[in-house]
Amino acid sequence: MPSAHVFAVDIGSTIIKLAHIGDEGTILEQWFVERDHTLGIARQVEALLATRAHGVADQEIRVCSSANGGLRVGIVSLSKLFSGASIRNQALAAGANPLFVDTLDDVTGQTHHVDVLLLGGGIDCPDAAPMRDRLERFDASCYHFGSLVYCGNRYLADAVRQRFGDVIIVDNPLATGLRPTNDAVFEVLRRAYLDDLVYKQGISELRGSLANGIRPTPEIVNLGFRQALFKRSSLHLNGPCLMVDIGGATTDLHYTVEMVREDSADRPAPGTSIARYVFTDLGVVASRDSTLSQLRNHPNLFEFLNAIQMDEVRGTYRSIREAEYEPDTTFLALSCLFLALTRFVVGQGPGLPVADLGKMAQIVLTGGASQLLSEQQVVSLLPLIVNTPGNATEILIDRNYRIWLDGICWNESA
Amino acid sequence: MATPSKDACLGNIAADRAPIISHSLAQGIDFEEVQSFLAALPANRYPAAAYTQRGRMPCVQPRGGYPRFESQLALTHELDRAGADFIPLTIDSYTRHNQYDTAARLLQRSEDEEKDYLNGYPLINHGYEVTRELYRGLDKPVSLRHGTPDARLLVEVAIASGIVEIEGGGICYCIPYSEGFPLDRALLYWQHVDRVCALYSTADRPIHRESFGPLSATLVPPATAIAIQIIEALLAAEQGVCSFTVSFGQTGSISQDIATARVLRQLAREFLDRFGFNATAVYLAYHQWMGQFPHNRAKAAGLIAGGTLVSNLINADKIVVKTVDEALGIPKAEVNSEAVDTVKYLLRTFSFATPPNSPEIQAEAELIESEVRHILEAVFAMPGRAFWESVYQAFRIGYIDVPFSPHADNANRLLSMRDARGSIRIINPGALPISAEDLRREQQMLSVDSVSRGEGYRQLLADINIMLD
Repeated sequence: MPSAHVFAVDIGSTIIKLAHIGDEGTILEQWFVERDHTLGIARQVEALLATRAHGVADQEIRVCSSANGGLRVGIVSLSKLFSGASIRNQALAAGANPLFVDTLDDVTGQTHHVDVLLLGGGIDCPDAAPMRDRLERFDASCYHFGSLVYCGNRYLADAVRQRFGDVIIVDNPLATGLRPTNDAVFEVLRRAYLDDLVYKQGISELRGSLANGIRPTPEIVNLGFRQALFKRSSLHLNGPCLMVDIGGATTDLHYTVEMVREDSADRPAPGTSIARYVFTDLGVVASRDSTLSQLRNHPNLFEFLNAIQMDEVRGTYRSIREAEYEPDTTFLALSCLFLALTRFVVGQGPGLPVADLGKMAQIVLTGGASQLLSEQQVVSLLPLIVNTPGNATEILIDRNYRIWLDGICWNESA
Repeated sequence: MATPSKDACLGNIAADRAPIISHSLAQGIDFEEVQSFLAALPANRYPAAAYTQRGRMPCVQPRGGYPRFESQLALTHELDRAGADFIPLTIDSYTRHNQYDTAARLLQRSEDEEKDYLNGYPLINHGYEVTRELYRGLDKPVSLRHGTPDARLLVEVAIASGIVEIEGGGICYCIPYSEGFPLDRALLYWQHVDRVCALYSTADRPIHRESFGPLSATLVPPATAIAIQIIEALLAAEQGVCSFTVSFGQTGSISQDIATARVLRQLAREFLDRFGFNATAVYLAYHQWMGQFPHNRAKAAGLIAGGTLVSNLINADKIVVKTVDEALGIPKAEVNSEAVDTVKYLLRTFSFATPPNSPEIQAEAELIESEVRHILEAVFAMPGRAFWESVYQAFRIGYIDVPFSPHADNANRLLSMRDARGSIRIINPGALPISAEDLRREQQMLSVDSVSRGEGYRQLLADINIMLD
């Protein structure tokens, strides 16, 4: 169970969530406050803590944030299924958003700008001529990145350092086997993500004891999901389960990997039990326009509108197609859910596995935008995407942000 | 650190069961109705009764499953007539992977074309009402054989059908069979299965659980197999299971088999008692050779005979038999019944075999016992809030390591080979927490008569294919 008496703070792009948690994880008080961008994060949070957490010791205050929508990373690796999958998995667990996974043989590069380019592959062994040849041919100018991190075969690290003087070298997650054995990529990205948050978003002005302990919200949410699946939460999860976290900038999937189809070309890294995927173009605020753009071009737009029982389906359909529609947040949240699920069943996204949602026993909706949805709306939507007779998927909407609270309150050493 | 405990029992799992039995293929399973049905079954349908009555001979159980009801019914009658003590129900591989819609399509096609397109009986698609008819009038236990990491719905339907021996476990039905099904999820799902079995059990009619000891059936050191068997017995006992069979597969070495059986039986009892599960009855099953079988039917018959005699020497409670067509695919019903008949004949003929107790066997048993104790104590000392978590962590770091497992959560660092007498020896323990002295003894035994042994990869292949020509 979560440890007792925690004051939890989540700094989001548009909302700051605060909660005072008592014994056994009970919510004593909870507040949702809109971000005051004129005040700045640090001053607003300090002001909120002064009024609502008066007398609470710093060590009882836990802060997480997703305020900048997550670090954007790219991955170039020896193989997509082993090193690429392992690196992507750790990036996702660290709250970062992998935009692409290329192999070292892909010579075309990418147009996306990423904050971190991760270069890796192979296991740690001195005899690695194929990997060495590929690294020598690797043309970094095909990519646009802020920092380069090498996390491949450690015997080739010196050669990489000679070519790229400012490269950051970390341990190879695969070490000497074909499954991850350390969290080096996770740690370097989490640090980079938090540094990014702290300096870009002004969190550095928070008192040191809070700023230093801040954690990425996606990591916290994933931890909360894990606690619920391990029956350490008041949220009752049981069976193959998908959680959708619909936010302002992104829509995140957290899922138990037994839902991945056996014939899926992309798979979570070996040894993964609960995986995450992030759609950086789906969200209700910062990603509003790209969400609408995706919806506009979706072949099942009409069926989607029918399923959610829109009034004036034909008129709305025409209006969306002509980019004249002004949706409310509820409509955008449903759109994010619909687009995320339809992509998941076909594996449409870099590194996204193909899911068999027919196995899904439960779907959990969490995050701010999910609060606007009703179970009935989701019930209406699911048959459009999941067409498996017999299985009745249970729908859970995390009304009290239980997942987040379980994650942030979890005390690993208890 | 989390040791096995009754406190880990899931208790009332009505809320967890509800979504599972709400699946339309569960046909509205009703707990009270199933309880009444189970209470009305003949007492001999329960494995505990069969084991009590077996006398000197091990019970005999074949394997077998066909997709169509009529074929399965014919097989059941054939095996019953041949004298099988346990009737098998082997499940098709789509059902094992929870792909019920695919199983349904292929069942329909099998029925339409009167040709089998599934490699077993799709129990969930047939449903419990139909399957009850399969065993109407039968006066012996039916055993569910599958290989399903998430067997929650399957077991509900099986028990509702009157199948009260459930093989499997979170480890033994995941690590050898699956590459990607997460072990932690399999352990949680089998906790649920064990709890369902316990809830349907009564003192005189326990739903019986059995673990699958052969694992990958490829050079698995006895200590690894035994440790896993004991762990699965403890996990089941935590949930209230009170009748459990531990098992192992023929290793290829008679002396090692005798030693393995002795240690497995003794330590399973000892560790169940140590954690307060004195009421859990424990039995021993022996699997005839689970590796690659000879294509030659005469040699296959010889191998079957050898395994049968070992089962007698170790006084197994049950022997799970193969057929002379093992290398060729799913055997015909008559070949299966011939295998039962042959094994029964051998058991009758040599029914008073006495287990030898040579110094070699004694030394082997001492070594295995020491290794198992080291492994289990290391697992008990692992961090975790529950025993299943300690087990999961033990796999992740290689304290438990099953050779030739395809599973991503298995360390695959342990290397084993056969010594000159055919016994399985640990060459490289990986992270297996055995003592230096035990490892030294393993390697000492490996080096005896090693002049006649080859080296490296070719020798490994020869060791795996030991039962081929």
